[in-house]
Amino acid sequence: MEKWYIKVNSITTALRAKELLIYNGYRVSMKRAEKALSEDGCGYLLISTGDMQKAEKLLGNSGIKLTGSGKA
Amino acid sequence: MIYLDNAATTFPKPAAVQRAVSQAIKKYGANPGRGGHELSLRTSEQVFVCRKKAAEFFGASSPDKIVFTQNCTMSLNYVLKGILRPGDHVVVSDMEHNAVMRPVFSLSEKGIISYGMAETFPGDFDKTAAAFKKCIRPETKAIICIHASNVFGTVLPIADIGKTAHENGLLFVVDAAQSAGVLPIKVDEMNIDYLCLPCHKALYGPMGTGMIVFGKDAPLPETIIEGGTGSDSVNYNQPSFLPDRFESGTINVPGISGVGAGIDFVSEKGLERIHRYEMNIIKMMYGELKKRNGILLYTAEPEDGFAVPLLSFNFEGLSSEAAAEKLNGFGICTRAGLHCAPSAHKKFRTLNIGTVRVCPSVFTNHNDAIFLLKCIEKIAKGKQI
Repeated sequence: MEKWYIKVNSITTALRAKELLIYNGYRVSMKRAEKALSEDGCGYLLISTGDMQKAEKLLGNSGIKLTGSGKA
Repeated sequence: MIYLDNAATTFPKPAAVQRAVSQAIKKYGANPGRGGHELSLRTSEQVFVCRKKAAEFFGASSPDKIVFTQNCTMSLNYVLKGILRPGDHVVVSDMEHNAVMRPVFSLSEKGIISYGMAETFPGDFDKTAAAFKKCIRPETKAIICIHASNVFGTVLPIADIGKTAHENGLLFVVDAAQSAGVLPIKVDEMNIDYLCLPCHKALYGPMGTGMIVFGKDAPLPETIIEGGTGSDSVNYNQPSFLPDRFESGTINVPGISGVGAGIDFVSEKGLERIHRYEMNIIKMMYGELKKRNGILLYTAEPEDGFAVPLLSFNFEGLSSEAAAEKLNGFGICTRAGLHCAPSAHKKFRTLNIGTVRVCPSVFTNHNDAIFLLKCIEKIAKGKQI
């Protein structure tokens, strides 16, 4: 399955997002955003597979601000 | 040694808290939210777990509404200096600790804000809440008040005051130094915008830990400290999101781990159970002291719901500091003087003498209280140590 990432801007947001995605059945790994992917210099990527749009909506509805997404 | 200065900080700390701090130094030794390596991520997760515990304990809408600070005073300074602007008026109670009064006074002396003091009526929640409402002016920005007096134990009706604040479009700041971990506090249910508290008192965390719990709709204060947060780093502006906005620099990971363990400890024992246990000790002390000649008490008998478990008293003809020194000679740790709360002493007319304050914890036992009473009797009878 194709891997994708969702980017957030802080560790606390990343851990909140990771927990929420796992609770909703996603398998998630987390890492710091590499410079090439990050325009704001810092951030965390949540990497998973499955329905990315559903994941984005889930996080957005929970007040979690996403700063980027794409293919991993 | 019998330690009865738990209103200053609790001692001893539960074994689980001691273990958590020690374990954090051994296992969670990387800077959280900085590196992308395994140890940094593991440490970040540990901090996050503690944030979640705090959020649940205080009814916050999300873990990122929890900001860790060094102590309650820092929390109050971050909030007060962050929300108040030139021309603002605030309402405080007549029993505030200097952690509220000094920043408020400082801002007032600089001509930035003005303030009014609401008279409090111990034991009468309706009258007290009405007094706060009476002090509100068109330019009032916030109500700031202590939840429970650190000197006399008087509890204020913060849910009612919070309701008044929000009904009048005001912000509500609560100093929960003597109530966090003693009385149930749920920020959103009680209309609290900023709950400022120490984690080293009735939450049994280590000294050097405090917290701000943000209400779900609380506006973000301006910052007085800016710096590296490990987030949004390309931007010279301080982050506009919590908790990063108020957690510049390296946070106290061992301390925070201890706080998490302290919250677990209090939750497992049960707030109500702890409160009832400590109040029984204080009520027993009060009852015995009331019978004795030469002992001055300043409040009505402590009543559940209207008081937190601490007690101030004096010996007739003996300064409070001298009394505390004599008690120290018996191996009893108390605090004397003004307890950084001249307002409270002014209200209860003890400004020129202070008081001796005793405060039990969950580790204080009945025999400790009996021994204290015996020592008080000896001192009152003028016996030498």
